Amino acid sequence: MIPSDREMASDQEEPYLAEAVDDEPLTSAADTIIDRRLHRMSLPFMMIARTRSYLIPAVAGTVFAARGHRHFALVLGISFLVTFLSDVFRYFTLKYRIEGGELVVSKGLISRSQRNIPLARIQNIDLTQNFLHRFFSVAEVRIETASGTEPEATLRVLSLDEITRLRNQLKGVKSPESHLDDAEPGAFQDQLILSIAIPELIIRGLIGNRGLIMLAVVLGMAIEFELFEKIPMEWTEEALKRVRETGWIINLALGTLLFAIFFGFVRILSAIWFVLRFSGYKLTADDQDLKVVAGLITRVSATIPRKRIQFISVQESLMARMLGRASIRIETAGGAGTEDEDARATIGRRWFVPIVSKSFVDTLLSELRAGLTADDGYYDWQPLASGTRKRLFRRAIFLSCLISVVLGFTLRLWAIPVGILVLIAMIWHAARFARSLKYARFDDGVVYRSGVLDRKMSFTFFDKIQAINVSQSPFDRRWKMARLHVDTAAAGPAEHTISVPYLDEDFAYDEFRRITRKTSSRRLQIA
Amino acid sequence: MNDLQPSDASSDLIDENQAEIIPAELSDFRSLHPAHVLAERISGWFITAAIGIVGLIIWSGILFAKWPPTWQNWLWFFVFFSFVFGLGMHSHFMPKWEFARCRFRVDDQGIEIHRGVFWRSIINVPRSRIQHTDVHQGPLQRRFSLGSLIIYTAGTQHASVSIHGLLKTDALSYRNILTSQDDHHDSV
Repeated sequence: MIPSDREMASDQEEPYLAEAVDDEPLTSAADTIIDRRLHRMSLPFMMIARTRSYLIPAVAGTVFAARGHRHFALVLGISFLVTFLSDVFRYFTLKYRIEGGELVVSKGLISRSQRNIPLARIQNIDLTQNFLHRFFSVAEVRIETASGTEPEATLRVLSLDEITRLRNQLKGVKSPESHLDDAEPGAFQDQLILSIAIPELIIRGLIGNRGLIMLAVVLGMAIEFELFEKIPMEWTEEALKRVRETGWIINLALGTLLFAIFFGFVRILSAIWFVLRFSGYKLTADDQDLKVVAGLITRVSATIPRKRIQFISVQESLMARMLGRASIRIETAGGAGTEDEDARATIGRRWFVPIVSKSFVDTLLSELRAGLTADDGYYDWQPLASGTRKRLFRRAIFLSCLISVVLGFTLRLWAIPVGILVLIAMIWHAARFARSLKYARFDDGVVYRSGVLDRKMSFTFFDKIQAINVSQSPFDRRWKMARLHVDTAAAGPAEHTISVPYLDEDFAYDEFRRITRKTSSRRLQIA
Repeated sequence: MNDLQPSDASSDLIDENQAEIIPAELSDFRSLHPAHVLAERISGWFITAAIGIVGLIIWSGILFAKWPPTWQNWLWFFVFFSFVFGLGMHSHFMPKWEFARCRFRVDDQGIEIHRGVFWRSIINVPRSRIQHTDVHQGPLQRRFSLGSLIIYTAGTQHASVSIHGLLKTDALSYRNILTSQDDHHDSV
């Protein structure tokens, strides 16, 4: 397809360009002054890009309109018009230039906005071209920095000459790193770290809940195709009559049996999902990257450069703990997406190691980051604020009273014993919760441990921390506590955040300062 | 946050009685521009007025259709206009309180913002973590020569950190302080 930015650096031929363009000097007086605009064909291309997102609503709108509900189509038409107008404004007001080592993009008529992107931060300039783009010798440009959720600047569209000029100006600034994203795993330098056999994957499925999602999909489709309406009324009536006739003990037993069957079914679906996704799992590593190959029907190979790992989380659900297993999840900073990035991202970022025996966790961790360990005793855990248990107990009491009052409307006096049960459960949970929360700082970063049933222990490192935040709700202020949060890139997939509540406020503030100092003193190492 | 005392030497200088005064460490922090209070009040009042007028129109419609109104109508009337009144009070007082509590520091170390009236928060973005910046000016801000400085990081929850209510020229100069290139190296 289109040569990527890195490939262009090494590729001498540029077959799709109409004519060769000489390398221009990095900056010249003329360059820094001229404001450049989008290509004049941009508007049609913007509209085409919009239609893709409007396609399904448009189809739905026509269907509704045909059935007589015009409002949806009207609303759709208005919103389309609004976005069209905003595209027109964008086209006429967007200007960009390279000035002082930055790409400056400004746009807007009513709300003016100027974005400065330091050239050194730009990781890639990606092009998208369909046949229409090729016909006009233009391309859609996406400029991405390490903050990889969405492109920092999308220039739709620029001429190819202009793009080459931009890239040449960029080449002189950044140093291209060569990550061979499509390298074959198992190449001679790679070392096999872990492979997961099918029985292990089945175990992982059985202790996990992935089946619920598949069930939701099946249910959704059933509703869509109106399958439920095909069940004859007589059957449901007959069934209800039978239920009312049998005694409550039998009903309870049957109900429990049905629930158990349902539960088992969900778990079996989950096991199937894991086998499909991770069959033949192999984790290999060389000195720069980790590679995961997995999948039964769709074979995915994901390359994870070690430097891109922002966040590592060792997680054990209750059942996993009982079986002596754990899973490891990571979060990585984004690079440019390719078509099968989704599958790669799912394995590489979200799951990484779906199941591994607890004794092997430290070996894996040190593979990800030298010297990292999940051993509790290694860390200097900080205590939570002294009033934590009292605060949690008070909250448990308040909430259970509230629940009892609410239930009292339906259950009357039965609400009291229910409330007491809820209270006991909440107090137990509060005590375990307070004990399960742990925070520590170590040479390289910070570690946070939380979770009563599902335990999660997560690490991030000073050279990956992006911003530090300490906050207090009004309740926190009253209890003299605060919450400490460190922000990392592409957070979320691991379903755990280093946001530590119930810290003593002075300690939280001091820790805030310490982490800030350590973060400032480490170079940014996103990728 | 007045209540979070730093535990280094400067805390010795803070008198217990001065708990309400910004602690010494925050004295080198700056405030927003006072015109921001007015700008925020204007936009708050505008929304309040809009909601109030819409409510009044609906109300006249209801009264026109059904006279005399029942006690439930009066109750809803009271509830709705208490809400509008509350909104008006919020629009009037919150900007002032938020202005009083908002402090920030921009230097070659990075940016730190203290803010919040009820929910208090301090956020720090070290200079090397700043990916790029926006200076943004809405139509109302333009009339007061105000602007917003938005700092983008590679983070997630704080992918963007913004300060609204700076003088636009100040916003531009802060941006320059934060992003001036020194040999393209991150600060070490």
